[in-house]
Amino acid sequence: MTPPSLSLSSHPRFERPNALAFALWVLVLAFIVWSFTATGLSFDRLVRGIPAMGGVLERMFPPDLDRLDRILLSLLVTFQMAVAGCVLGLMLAFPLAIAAADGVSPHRVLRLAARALIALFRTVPDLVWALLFVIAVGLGPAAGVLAIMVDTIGYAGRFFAEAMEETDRGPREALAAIGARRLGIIMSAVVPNAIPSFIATSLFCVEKATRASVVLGLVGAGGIGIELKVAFDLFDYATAATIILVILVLVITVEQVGAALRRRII
Amino acid sequence: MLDPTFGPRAAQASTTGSAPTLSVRSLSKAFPRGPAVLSDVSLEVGPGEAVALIGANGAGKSTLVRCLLRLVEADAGDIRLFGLEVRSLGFRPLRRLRARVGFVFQRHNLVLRLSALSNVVHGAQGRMSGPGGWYQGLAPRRVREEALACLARVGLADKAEARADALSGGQSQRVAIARMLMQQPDFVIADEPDASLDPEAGEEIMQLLRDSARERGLGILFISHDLEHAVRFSDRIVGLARGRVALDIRSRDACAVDLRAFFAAPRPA
Repeated sequence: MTPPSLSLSSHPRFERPNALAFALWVLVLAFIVWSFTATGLSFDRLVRGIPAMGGVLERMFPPDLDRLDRILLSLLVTFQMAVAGCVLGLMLAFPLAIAAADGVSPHRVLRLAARALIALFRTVPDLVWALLFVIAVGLGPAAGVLAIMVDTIGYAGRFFAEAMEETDRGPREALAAIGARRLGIIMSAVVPNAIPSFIATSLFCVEKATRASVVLGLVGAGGIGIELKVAFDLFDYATAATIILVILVLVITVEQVGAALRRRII
Repeated sequence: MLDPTFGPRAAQASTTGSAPTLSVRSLSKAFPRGPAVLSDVSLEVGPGEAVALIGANGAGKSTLVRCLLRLVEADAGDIRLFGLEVRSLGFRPLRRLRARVGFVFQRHNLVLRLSALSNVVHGAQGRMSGPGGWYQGLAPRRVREEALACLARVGLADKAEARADALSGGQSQRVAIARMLMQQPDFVIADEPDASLDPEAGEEIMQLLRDSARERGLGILFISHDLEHAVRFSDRIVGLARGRVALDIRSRDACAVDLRAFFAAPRPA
């Protein structure tokens, strides 16, 4: 016979929620349902939208290749925006991450300030940064580069700092015991151990920046986004299809190259 | 039980008779919300003297040696190294003092993604600033040559380009000793350098440490759980129990004491 302590009845599969947890679950579910109704999304509307979408797709094919050279030039500018913004962002994210990393930062106040700045850069969407920089430096790719730079600082700054915090403390202690300076400890014992994470984060930043650079054109920050917007505004769906396809090729290429580099380097 | 005839003798002059390199007086340390790790600890290490620090796990040995360089801050007491009052040193004088003391860690504490040579070059950071000490590729020719000579001294010149994470435990500890030699220290502290190594490698490491210190006439304070090593490679043995010095004898008198019973001393609560 099974002893009482080994009886499964005293070990339920799931923990019974208390009254407060149950109420919270109900509230969350209610909010989800409300979100669907408030945004006007319904199955009926979705079904009615299918023929319209079919009509657009029908007008997209075959894609119009007449302006392919101009589109490819815009695509090149878009990718250059991504690269320039990303490189600038990564360069600035590195010192900011050192200032923000717990156990690495030279001062608590500096750490809090750096963390706050990184959080600000990360939480404000890149489109909002693009709008601000369009106002500041005018329409064109320069605004896009700056928007991508700030977005990259926010993203890479956080992950660089976390990577440094997670490095083994042993080598840091050894360098401190040798009498090394703080910068020496960071560059000798922290950065080398965080490099795999730095590379992975940087490659993700390039992929993220490439995707972002496409959209930034929609608010006037240069690149192929503006071409896409004009094509849609003029109901020139065949040209829009060409633009979407070349963007697809660029994004997939960048992601594949990034994945290959990650496998090779890390 | 400890032998009551062998109590603390730190106040007595060290075997050499001259001014001690290291002098610790009434050192105490307790971690927040914890019991006292060190209580009224006093000991001395004379110039060129080798002192083994023994004790059961939790006796406070590692905390004591970390307090000596203020890797852990003591709560009370005096520490004098080379005649300097360690606990009152400012940031820069403390860094200069640390540069004069070679510290070998139990876990080697190498930067695993860097080569053995780069890890040894790091030893120069106490006496030089800038990128030259960060990585062997950035180091001046003189520093690289010196680092290679240190690796050769520990028998690992052929592993200079090998990454630290590709080395065996014994090889890693040899690289850590080469890094210590690169520092050109005036005193050596070693926290269980023979731990986690097979008996042969452990003995080689201890021999290497002792010989390296002797060649330069350096004093050395090392922790070991291996009683044979403690007796063979030291001039004096200091035992800690419950954070207090409970034994301080010349190593040649060790046969008169049951050191194993000392290790069986009850651990701190």
